[in-house]
Amino acid sequence: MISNVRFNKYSLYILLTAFFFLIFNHYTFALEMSSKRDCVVCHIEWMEDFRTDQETLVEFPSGNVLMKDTQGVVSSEEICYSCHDGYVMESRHITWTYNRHPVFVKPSKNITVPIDLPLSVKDEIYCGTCHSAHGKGAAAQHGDPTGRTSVFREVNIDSSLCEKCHRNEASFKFSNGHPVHTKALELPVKLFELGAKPASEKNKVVCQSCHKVHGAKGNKILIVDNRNSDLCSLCHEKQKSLVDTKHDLRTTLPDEKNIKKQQLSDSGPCSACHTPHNAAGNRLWARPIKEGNPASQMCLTCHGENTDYKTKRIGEYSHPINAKLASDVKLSDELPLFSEDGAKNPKGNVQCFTCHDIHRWDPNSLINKGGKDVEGDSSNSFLRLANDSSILCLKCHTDKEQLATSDHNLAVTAPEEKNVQGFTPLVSGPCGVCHIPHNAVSNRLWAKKISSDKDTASQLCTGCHNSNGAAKAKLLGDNYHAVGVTLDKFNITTTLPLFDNEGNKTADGKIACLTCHDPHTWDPINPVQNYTSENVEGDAGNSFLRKSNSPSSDLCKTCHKEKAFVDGTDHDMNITGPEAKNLLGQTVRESGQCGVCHLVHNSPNNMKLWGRAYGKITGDEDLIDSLCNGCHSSDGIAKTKIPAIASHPEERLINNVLRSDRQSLDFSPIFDKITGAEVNVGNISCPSCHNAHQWSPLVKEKGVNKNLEGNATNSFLRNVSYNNICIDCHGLDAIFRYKYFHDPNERVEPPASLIKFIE
Amino acid sequence: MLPFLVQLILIIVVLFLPASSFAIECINTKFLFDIKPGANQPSDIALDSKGNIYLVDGVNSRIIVVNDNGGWKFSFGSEGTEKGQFKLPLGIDISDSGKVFIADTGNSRIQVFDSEGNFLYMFTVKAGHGEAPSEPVDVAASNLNNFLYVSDNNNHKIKVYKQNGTYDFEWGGFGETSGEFRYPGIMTLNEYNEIFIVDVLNTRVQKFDPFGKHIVSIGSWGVLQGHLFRPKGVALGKKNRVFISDSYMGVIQAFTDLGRFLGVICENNRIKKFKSPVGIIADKNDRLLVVEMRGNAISVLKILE
Repeated sequence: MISNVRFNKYSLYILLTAFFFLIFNHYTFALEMSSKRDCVVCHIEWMEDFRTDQETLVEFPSGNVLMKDTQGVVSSEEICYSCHDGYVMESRHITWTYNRHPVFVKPSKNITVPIDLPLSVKDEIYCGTCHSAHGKGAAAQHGDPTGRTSVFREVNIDSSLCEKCHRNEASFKFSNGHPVHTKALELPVKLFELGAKPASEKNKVVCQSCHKVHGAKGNKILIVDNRNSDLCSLCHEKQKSLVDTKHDLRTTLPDEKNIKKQQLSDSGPCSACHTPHNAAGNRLWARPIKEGNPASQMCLTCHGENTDYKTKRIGEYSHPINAKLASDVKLSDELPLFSEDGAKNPKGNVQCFTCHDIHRWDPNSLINKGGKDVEGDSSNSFLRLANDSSILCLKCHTDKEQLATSDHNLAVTAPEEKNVQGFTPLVSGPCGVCHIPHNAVSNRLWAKKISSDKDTASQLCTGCHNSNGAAKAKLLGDNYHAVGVTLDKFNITTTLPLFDNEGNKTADGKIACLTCHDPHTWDPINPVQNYTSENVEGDAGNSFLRKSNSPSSDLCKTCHKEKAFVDGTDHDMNITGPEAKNLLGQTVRESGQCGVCHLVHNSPNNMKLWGRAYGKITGDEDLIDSLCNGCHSSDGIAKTKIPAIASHPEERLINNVLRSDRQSLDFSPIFDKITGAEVNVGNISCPSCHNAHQWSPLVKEKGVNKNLEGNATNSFLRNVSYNNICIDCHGLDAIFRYKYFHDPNERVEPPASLIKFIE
Repeated sequence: MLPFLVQLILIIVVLFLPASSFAIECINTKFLFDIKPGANQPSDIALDSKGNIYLVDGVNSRIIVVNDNGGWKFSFGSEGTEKGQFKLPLGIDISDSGKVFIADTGNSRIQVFDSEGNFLYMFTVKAGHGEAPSEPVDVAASNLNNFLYVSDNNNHKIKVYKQNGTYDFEWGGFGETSGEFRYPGIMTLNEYNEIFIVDVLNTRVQKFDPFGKHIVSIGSWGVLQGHLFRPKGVALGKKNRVFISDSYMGVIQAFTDLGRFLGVICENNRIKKFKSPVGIIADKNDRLLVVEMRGNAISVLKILE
């Protein structure tokens, strides 16, 4: 049809014009494309020429789609991927696999995005917030050592780009965050194999040590899946031993959440107690924590008495924390001490963490994890050292070391004995038989049942030393040294410990077994080197006494200072009767000076805990005199010192109320004739005038270590004053009568019937 | 002589003729099924003589083998540098003899396996003097002259080896002129051993004779039909059709082997969009298998026209 068309010159002109217009227009379009081509490799949206009314193979979004307050649209993720899919640059495994930094979300309230890192038009983080092909490192090579890269807006030296927004995390010291820029630990090679970015210095921790902005395999853009805390344990390998123990709360408290409401199944076992950023306190603590030393309070968060957690409690009686070690005790690094801020400090105090490594159930085995229902004992229980030999206890309690080589090591002497936890000594360790660090029965971390809250300190001993106890072979007998009494009424002071009813040491406390005995030390002077047999029979030099009591009775003298003047006198058997034996068959070297005459335990005699055979007395004689004439008799060891006349006439009873004050110079006790107890009304007996413990009433000193012949100024007389008991009846004449009391020739003639001679 | 009004109408028609000529030319297909064997951003695909499909699952460092219906057969490879291990491989081809050639991109080498995935041998794609480390992204095994073409997109060259790994010759280099490349990628050979090479950032597919002599470039830059923006895959079909995938535009277009645009792959006369299509292949049953990198799938289509 067109062939039939006839054109005039005008129409031909118009047609040619239209033809050239088309050609020219198309040519212009091609030039535009060519000049912009390199830009459009990424910025396809910039290419206005592509936005034609023809159907294109791509859809063009309208307007400024991404960057806020800038000249226009920038490249999209799709355009990035079209090169970074391996065919221009390989980033599939990094950027488009696993997790990446959140984009197209508004920054959280903890984040402050600086103005030079732009947000999108919706004030959201987007790729271009961090990335720009035209950033400060545009010319840099990949892996540029100065931190420049071709795609970051800013240099990124040691995660400096991250820290521009994450300032809180960067200021870790103020925000209780995981340290960055520290080189405290050696970072494992594996960390970098898994995707960590090496910092400018070896072992330096930076954000990208743990986080990977693209291609992160874990939540929170961690380089690996950390739901089992695998990332944490890469560096903190030792703590990995926590997994599957009771402290792996996935086992014991699976629904527990930390302060960030993170569930263990999502955030891993470490997260139960630690969170890497914005923690509650030191050590990245992720649980509520009370005031106090973090090295203990972290434990007490769950194990304290006033918590809601259904976990093991330490109980009312628990090992003290914040305790200062004795000055002579030095701990090695294996048992750390802590300063107030919870940091390890060799000069610090004892805290829970001193004994416990809460990440490891069994100090001797990484395999033994214990488990949810396994009851721990002294060999595990998150202790830093296995304690089934009480090694851990003895690291600090060095003064208790001798217990193991004594009969109080029940592993030897009573292996079947059990503490309140039901553990035998072989399980609990020698210390654990009597003491448990937590949930003890009473003070002193006592691990035995006690019958009452009275005289607790003595019950610690009688718990075993009773007729049904483990130490039933070593009982106190019916007559034993007073316990449960205070010293004030005796006007005695002592450096030995006294105890209140709860067993606390107190200056005005009562005498208890522990006053004289240190149950941890068999021999206070000579530690036992070779403890090979059990049930050793002791003497006054050992027997768990706090002080050696033989041959000098130093222990007794600590309290009975007035009796100490017997030392070196004729009544010191070291001087006058070294071979003499008490009822236990002990010589003075074995029994000590006091023990020659007094038996602290198991004395058959109630009177003065007499440890020797009573002397013979007739029915009308004072029992108290039998203490003296046991020796001062014809077959006694003091047979050379027998008074011719030894008794006072019993014409009338003597009232010595005014002379019963022991502190009085003219103290003259009167004794019950039958029982020998001190009374106010009675007759004169030997001790009325004699103080067997002091040679001379004028000299409060020890003897001279010689067997002396005495006179009326010494001879163990109580006093030589003009106001002695004799005066009460005999007037001043008594001074003369007093001198000749034992002399039948010189003394004033008493009725013959009243004169009795000692046989 | 026509009245002036008729002439004016004719002129207007002529003026609008180009616009009407840009109506989409469709080559209709029918979607058959997707194969989703658990790959992560797979890249390339090859068929063996039995019709089994070998898929490069590079991010997972393995090759997945499924049957022609997508049924799982086996996989081989793991991450690493040892024999039989891969580091982000991208390309694959299978020779008529059944050897499976893998462009082990991250390890700068070619690994050769039998059809069961057993390792046979490997060789390094060496960088020449002054060159960057090689990054072989695809291989094409010639069945006529025993050549193995390797596209090294880090040096913008095609390196040619004997199939036993002996280096033979190379051509290319960075540039935009014919015979030069800006990131050569997936390749395919026709029955005459002429090779079609995707030239990614030059937005074209170049066709060469077996020895690297440029024959023709297919496609041009743009976003209209017949244009390429980010070409990735090339495959040959019946009727001398050259299928080219475009990963950004998400389309596949067909050209003649001399570069004339034929049409866009459509379904029901509407452009068929793919999720970042890369490697493609047409099988003997006129099926077009498209690797959708971001779809983690192989989309199987029946070519209807």
